[in-house]
Amino acid sequence: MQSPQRVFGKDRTKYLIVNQTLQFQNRTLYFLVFSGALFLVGTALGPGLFGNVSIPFISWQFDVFHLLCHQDPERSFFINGSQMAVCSRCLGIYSFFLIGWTLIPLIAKLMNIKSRYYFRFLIGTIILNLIDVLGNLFQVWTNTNESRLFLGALFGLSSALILSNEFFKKLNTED
Amino acid sequence: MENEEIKPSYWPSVIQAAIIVAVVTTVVGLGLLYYVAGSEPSMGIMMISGLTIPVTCLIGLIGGILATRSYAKAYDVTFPIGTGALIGLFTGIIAALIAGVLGQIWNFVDPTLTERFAETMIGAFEMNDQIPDAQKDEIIMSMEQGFEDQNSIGGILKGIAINAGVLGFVNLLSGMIGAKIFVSEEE
Repeated sequence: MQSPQRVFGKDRTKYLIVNQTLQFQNRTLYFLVFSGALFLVGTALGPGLFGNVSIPFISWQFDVFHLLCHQDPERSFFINGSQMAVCSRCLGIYSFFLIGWTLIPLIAKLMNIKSRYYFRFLIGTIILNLIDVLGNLFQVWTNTNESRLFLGALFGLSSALILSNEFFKKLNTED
Repeated sequence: MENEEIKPSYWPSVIQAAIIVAVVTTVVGLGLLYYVAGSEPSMGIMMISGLTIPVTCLIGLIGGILATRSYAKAYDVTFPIGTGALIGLFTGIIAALIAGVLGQIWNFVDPTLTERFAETMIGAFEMNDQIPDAQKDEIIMSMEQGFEDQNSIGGILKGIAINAGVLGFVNLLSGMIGAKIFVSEEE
């Protein structure tokens, strides 16, 4: 992956070509995580994805997530009239982790963001989610499926982005 | 070979984190079982298919973070993200195995718990008048069959295998994040 840039000096005679090469490392792990995340998102959508009725504790999709999510129907979206296998916050986390994971090569290519900023973003989204959960728990406000999905999505996205520099590194080489 | 650094084993950290995850998820799971089993069958119970405590969400994936943090801090070592992933994966798998064993031990302590839980759930589903009777009978039959299967050896092993796969994967992710946060070597 190369994107040569031609930089001219003031006298228009000297120039520098900068090759920004994107180094793709830990490939097996990247594709393993991509496959696993894809499976999790497909499963999280629940039996309704295949037009089946959701039966909590019986449908295998619910079985997959029962240790990870409270699976409360009042906090979940429905697909084809069937409850999804995870709550709206978890749906946001898994789906946007997958989206983020798919986009990290592009983000690494287009932007040069240091890991510490991704780390701050991750911590920020965790704090936001905690504030939202506590505010709702103590009835300061009432969150909705949409707000939970949005905050979960931020957390999922930040979880993927913090790992981007471990898989895609931009190397600048001057010719 | 002479310069190769011998790193301490990560297994104590893995097992420690796995025990924490297994105990927490088992306690939360048992809490749910007792809550439902002790309730009268109603649509309300049917609707509470999981614990309504929002903080229970995602407890299962802290294992990777705990294990990588414990390993990095205890031995003051650095390791690549792949090792973090491996530590998380093992933590999740072992947590699922321990949770499975704890669940079976609890079956000896209170053998009728699963049965009471199944009765409440099926009773609650029978009250659902939004589903046509024929379809309802079919679903109830599959529920009865499902609960029966869950108590068989095959069902128990299948449950442990599913949990091992899922907990293994999500803790692999949290293990990578843990390695990134606690053992960052760059910049």
